[in-house]
Amino acid sequence: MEGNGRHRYIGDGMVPPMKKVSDVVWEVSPDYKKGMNVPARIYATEKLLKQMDEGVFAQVTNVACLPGIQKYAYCMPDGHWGYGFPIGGVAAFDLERGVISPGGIGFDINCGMRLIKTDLTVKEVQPKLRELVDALFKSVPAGVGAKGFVHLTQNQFKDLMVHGVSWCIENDLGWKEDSERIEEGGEMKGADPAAVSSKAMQRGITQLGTLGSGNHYLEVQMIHAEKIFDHDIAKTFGIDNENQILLMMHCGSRGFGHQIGTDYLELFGSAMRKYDLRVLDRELACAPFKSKEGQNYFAAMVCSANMAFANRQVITHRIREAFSKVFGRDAESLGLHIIYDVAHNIAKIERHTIEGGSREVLVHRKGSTRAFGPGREELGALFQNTGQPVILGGSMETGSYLLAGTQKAVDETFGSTAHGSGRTMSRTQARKRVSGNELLKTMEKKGIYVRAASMEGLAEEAGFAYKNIFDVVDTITRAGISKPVVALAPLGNIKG
Amino acid sequence: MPFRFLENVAIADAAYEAWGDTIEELFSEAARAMMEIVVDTKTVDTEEERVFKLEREDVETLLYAFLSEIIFLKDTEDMLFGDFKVHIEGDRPFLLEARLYGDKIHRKTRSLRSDIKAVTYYLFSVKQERGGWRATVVIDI
Repeated sequence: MEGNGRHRYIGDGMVPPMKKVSDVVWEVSPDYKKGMNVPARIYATEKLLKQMDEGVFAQVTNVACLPGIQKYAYCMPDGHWGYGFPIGGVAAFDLERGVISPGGIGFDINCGMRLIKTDLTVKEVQPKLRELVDALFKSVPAGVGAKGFVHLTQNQFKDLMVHGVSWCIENDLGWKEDSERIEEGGEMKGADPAAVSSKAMQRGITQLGTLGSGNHYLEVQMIHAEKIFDHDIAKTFGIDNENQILLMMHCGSRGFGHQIGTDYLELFGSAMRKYDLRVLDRELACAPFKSKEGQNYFAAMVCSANMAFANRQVITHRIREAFSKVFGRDAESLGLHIIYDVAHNIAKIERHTIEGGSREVLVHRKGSTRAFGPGREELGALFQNTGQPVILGGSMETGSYLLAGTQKAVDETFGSTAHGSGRTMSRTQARKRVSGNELLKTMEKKGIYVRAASMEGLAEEAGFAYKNIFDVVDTITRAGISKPVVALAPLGNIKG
Repeated sequence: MPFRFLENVAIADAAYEAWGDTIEELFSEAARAMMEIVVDTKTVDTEEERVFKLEREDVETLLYAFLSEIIFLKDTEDMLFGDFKVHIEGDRPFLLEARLYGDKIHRKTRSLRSDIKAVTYYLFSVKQERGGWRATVVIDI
C-alpha cells in the first residue's frame, strides 16, 4: 500500500496512504489530516490490514489530533470500527498538557477478561459437561434485565467502588490470594464515589455478579491439541497439564460504567467549550486531565473499574460454587485458582520512556490489553520473570489465547497489545446468515455445548462474524508485543 | 418504516437512522428503533406508563438525554417500551415531556435480543430537512 496514494471515501472515513514500517506495522503520516499531532500506527499483517474497515483509519487519525498525545495513536490487529476511538485503540497523553476522553475508554469501563484454571481434566469434565454448563448458566445471571444475587446497601456499594476485589474477599466472595492475580490487585487507586451520579448508583447496585449481553460470555475451555507454546511460562501461570480444563470470562462494569460514561460524555460537551477544545468527532469529547472535570471523570472511572473487577470476582465465586456442586468437592481441592484478570477498556497512569526520558503518562486502552514485560514493578513477584499474562478472547467457535507481555511492548506500544479477534461483520449481517438455533446445532456437532440468554444475540456472535484469531496472534507475535503461551479451545459456553 | 438500521457502521454496535414529519415523531421513532435492538416492540404490552421531563439547550443533547433516560429506566425499573408519546416545546432551552408505555422485562412469553449499554455521540445528528426531521444514532451494545 506504500505510496500508492489510494483514497477511497466511505462514510466519514478514507483509507490513507501508509508507510510500511515492518511486515506488521503501518504508519500514517501526520500530514495526512489537518490537526494530527503525531503519526498513527496500525499493527496488522497485510491480510488483516485489508480486512480493516475504513472507520478504523478515520478514527485512529482523529485520535492522533487529540491534545497532548505522545509518540503515536495506535490501532491493534484486532482493530475495527468503533465509536470515537477505534476498537483496538491505544493512546498515551501527557499528564499536564494532555486530555482524558471517555470515548477512549468506552462505556463499558474495565470490560476485561479473567482466566481461571482447574485441576480437572477433559476426561473428567466431558461426561458432566451439560450438567456443568447448565449449573453455570443458572448460577451466573446473563442477558437483558439480569440481577445479581449480592444485595448491597448504598454504603456497601460505595465501599466496593473504592476497594473492588478486596471488598469481595472481606465479604467471603473470594480467596485471599485472588487479588495477586488481578491487574491492579483488583483495587485500583484514585476512586471517589462522590464523582459518581446517583443514576449510575441506581443502575449498578443490582447488577453485581451478572454477565451482561452482546459479546460477553463465560466459557469452559480445554487446551488446544498440544498447543502449549511455552511450557515454563505456562507452568508459572498455573498450567501444567495438557488435559487441563480452564474457564474464561468476558464482562465489565455493567450499567454502572455505562451510566458513568453517559453522564460524563454529556458533561464534557460543556467542558470542551470552557477549555476551548475542539475534536473531530463528538464522541472524542475530552477534558484536560488535570482539570476538575478530567479529575472527576478519572475518579468515577476508577470506581467503575473496581466495580468491574468485583463483578468478575463475584462471578468467580458463583463458578466455584457451581463446580463444587457438580463435582461434589470443594473448590480448593478442584484447584479453581485465577490465572489472571486483565482490563481492556481503561485509562491508567503509567511510567514510560519517551524521547529518552522516563515519565508518567495517561494511557487509554480501548479494546487493548496491557502487555507489560518482565521486570515491571506493577506485576509483583509472581510474574517478574515471565511478563504479565495476556488474555485474548476469540469468537466462541474458534478459541482463545493466553500470552505473555514483553519488553518490546513496553518500548513500542506503551505496553499494549490486542484484546481478541475483532469483528469483521455487523450484527445484522450475522443474524441474516445464521439463526441462533442453527448455530447452536452446528456448535453441538463440533462438541461445544452452548446456553444462551438470547438466541438472536447468539447468532450475532457466530465465528464467521470475527477475524481469524490466529492472524491476530500471528501479528502480535511477529511484532514482538506479546508471546504466545497456550491456545485454548471451547467446550461449553454461556452467552449473555 | 420510519427508521432503518445501518449495516456497515460501527460494526460491533447498532447504528440507525430515524425520520419524522415533526420533531416529536422523530423522537418517538428514534426511541422505537433503539428498543427494537432489545426486543420486537410488537410483543411489548403497553399497560404501564412512565412519564419524565427533560430540558436541554439544543435538540441533539435533548435526543441524547431522552434515549439515555429510556436505557436508565430499562435497567432501574426493568421496563421495556412499545409506545412512545413525546411533546416538545420552547426553543433553547427545549422542554420535553415523554409518556412511555410498556411492560416489565421478565416474561417468558417473548424472546429478548441484545442489551443496550449507552447512546454514543459518534455520527450523532438531528437535522431538520425539507418536509421533516432526521436523526442518526449509534448505540453501544
